[in-house]
Amino acid sequence: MTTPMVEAQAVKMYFPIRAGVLQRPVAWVRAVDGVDLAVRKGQSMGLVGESGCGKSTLVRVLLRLYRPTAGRVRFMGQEIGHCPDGKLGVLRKEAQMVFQDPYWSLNPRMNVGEIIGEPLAVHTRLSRRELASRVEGVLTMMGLASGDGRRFPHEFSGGQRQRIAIARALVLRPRLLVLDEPTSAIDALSQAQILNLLNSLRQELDVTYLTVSHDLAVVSYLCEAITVMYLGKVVEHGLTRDVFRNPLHPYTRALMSAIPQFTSAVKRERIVLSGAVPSAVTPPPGCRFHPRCPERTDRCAQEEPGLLEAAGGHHVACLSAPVQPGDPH
Amino acid sequence: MALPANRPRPAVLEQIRYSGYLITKNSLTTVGFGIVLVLLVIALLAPVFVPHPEHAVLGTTNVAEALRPPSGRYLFGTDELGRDLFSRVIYGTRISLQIGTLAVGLALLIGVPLGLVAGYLGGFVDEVIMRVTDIFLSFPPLLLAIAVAALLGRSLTNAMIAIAIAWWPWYTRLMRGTVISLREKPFVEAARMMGTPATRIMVRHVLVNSLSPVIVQASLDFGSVILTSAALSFLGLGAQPPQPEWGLILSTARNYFLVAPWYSFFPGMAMVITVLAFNLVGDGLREITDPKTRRL
Amino acid sequence: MPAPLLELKGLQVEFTTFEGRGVTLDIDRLEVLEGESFGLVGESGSGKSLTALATLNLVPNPPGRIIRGEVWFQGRDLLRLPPREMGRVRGAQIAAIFQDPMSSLNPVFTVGEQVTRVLMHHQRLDRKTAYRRAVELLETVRLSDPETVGRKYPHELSGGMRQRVVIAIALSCGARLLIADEATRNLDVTIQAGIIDLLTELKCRTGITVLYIANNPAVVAEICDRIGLLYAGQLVEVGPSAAVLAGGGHPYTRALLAAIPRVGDTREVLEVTEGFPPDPIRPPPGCRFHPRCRRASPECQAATPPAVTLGPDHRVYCHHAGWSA
Repeated sequence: MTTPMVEAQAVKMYFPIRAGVLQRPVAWVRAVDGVDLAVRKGQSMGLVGESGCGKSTLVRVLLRLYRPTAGRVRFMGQEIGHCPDGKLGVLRKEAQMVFQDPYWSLNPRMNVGEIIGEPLAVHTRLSRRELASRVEGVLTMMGLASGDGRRFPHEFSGGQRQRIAIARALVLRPRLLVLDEPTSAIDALSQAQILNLLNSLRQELDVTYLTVSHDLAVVSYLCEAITVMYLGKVVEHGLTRDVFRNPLHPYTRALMSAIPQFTSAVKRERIVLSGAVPSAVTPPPGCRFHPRCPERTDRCAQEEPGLLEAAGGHHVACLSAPVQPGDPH
Repeated sequence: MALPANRPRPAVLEQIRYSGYLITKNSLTTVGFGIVLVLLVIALLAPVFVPHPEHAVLGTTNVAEALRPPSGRYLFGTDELGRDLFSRVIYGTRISLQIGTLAVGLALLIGVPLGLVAGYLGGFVDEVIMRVTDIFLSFPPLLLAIAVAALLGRSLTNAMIAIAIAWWPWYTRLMRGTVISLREKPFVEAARMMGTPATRIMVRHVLVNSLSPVIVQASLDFGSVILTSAALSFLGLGAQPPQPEWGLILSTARNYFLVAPWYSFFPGMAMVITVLAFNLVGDGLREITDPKTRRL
Repeated sequence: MPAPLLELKGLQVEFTTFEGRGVTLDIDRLEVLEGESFGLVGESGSGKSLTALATLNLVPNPPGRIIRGEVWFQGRDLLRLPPREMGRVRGAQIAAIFQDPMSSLNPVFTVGEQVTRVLMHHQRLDRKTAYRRAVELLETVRLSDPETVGRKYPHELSGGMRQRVVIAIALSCGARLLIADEATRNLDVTIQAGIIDLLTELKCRTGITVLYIANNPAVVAEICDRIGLLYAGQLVEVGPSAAVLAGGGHPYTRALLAAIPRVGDTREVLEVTEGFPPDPIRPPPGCRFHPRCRRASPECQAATPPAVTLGPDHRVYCHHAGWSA
């Protein structure tokens, strides 16, 4: 098997809660608690889950915005989880990110040309003219006018700003593009434009996508594979069509039944989850989903399920799910 | 493909026009800006229209004309040495604006970079910088300025340095707070993720976006700084005779308060108007830079 | 057909900013029937929240101003009520819940206390009865263990629970109309589903009329009997949910439905509408959708489209209405 684009092994990311005069950590928020994940080259992977599940933290660890508390992170085969900042050159050049908030993700005091040109200014020694022409090229690719480089972010609509953010991320022709809720803050018609644009760009530029989203419809449209997280752990992973056709984890099923689908709620069978997501400081013992799980058994409170393969490439972490015997992941 | 009809005007022009609109929208702000403008003109043109520049600059005396009340010849009357008060108060504007600019400027020069570094880097650096500012902030600014001025020796320059030393921690604090809230914004995260060096992030992304509150505070402080320098001069720690500094004039004038009330009145009024104007400007700037008052 | 509980007629709201002055909201006619749940759908900036504010006569002035129109509610024009009367209508007959439940809750009182106080004020109950009723209401909004929840402060509750408390407060006034403005927008899908189910249930049990405002037509489809669609401040289509979401009416409705990705979608490419949403201060003349519309003809730019009836209680504002039929 070829080296994955980015790979996490048993990654944990704990944040301290400090208290007292000495500001000693008194407890830890276990935002990501032992996650294995591999995104193949050229793949488009979706990371889904609800707020607090650790998906945003995980991608920030994968891009070394945070140093993981434990575990290994490899980017294009190179260990990046614990190496010094100075050795991150390849990662910083080859991996870029698009953020959810189109308003605060662009510096309001820089014009669009400066914003898009910044990665080039940092990583290359292009002349002023070469830089301007690269910026213009990527603007055109995003369906923006070449004169837009002289304008400022506040002059654009949300959808246009997101195109600018994508332009900035792609100007260096990176190998990996992380999309953090790329369309959740913009209107539906612009969302369709952006999703189509992202799909066509991926084919054109041969770039790997890792999309973080709470919107399963967006993920199903953008991603070939999907990883579902709950409270810092991966609960299900597989090809998008397998997971959607045959969700194996009760949480995935509840998540899918909750998506609004243009039909009256009265007519629908919905799996309603009781209670709220527990605190990541003191996660429940055993399976973390068991207090809210409609299918829980006595075993679930004691035994922690591992992520096991159920069918070709389709993994699930549930004690009740049908998994292939004797094949720990 | 149909394009929207609403391509706005160039950003900078639009910003200037919009700021102009906001300044004129609030009449008090307009008054404040107006007075400051007039003060600036007065300070710049003082040598041109003042009848007795030698009374102000050289302190030439003319005892025969001592303590004359205001008249056509002496608009504000004269002091105990027969000097034209009008000339001296007008020249005092120059000194006051100079003190304000230099003292506030020096305080900003020290305070802003420290706040930027403390807020952006956090951790140990932050801890050290902030404890030092805490020490400075634990003294009342006037007292601290008096102590430093006394230590450095009596002169106007030393008074300005003393004021700057008493003031910079406020800017450090303000700056640090703004920087911390900006540090978490996605555009800063984006810059870090693309490998932008820390110094470049601090200057190009953080500094330029965190200056507005500091500028507002600085313009509000302008008035207090002028007052403080007057207080220092009044105590004999700032300007030295025969400099026409308002605080210094007042300190002599109080001896003649009953016989020559105009002697205290005019420099006093000059100070009140100046301080008030800068406060109005500061309040106006706060409103203009407040994102909530911008647009819809 | 039941009588309208709320009826907006010829409502126009104007905004004045530095960039100019424009009629941001222009609604010809919109009625919410007694006992139904009505969904108002539009993108951000389409004027759907502004419609709610205009209904409550709460348009922020400046920069906004209601320049003409009538808002009929229970036989009275709310825009012409004296302020004190209107204040009474707002608290007691029309309740509103918003995107951020924290803005409607007082952080220094327990939630039980807050519901109790509203009951004491509006229903003139003594403290004990009011408290008992408050606990009942917290149970009505499906908060498990209402006694315990009642003793908590807003910050101790999750977003979904807070929104349920706000709904309980809305119910406690005995309101006839509940305006839910993006009430589930910031919530996770599983939490959102719970609130949607709750609102559906409450409508059946208490007969309260719901005006549900959202940007996602799929959410509205789950709750609402009828739907109205806004684009750039203009009503483009209104009718029974099923009829509107069949997508045969207004070109904008069609474009919107085609643009939304769905789970299990087999489409490779989403159908895309070019262009960007217009500036609310300077909306295009005539039909405001015409710059992005495939069917646009010169008359679309020249004149505001007329209301065309497509079916029972189903009308479309389009010069080319019925073209696909």
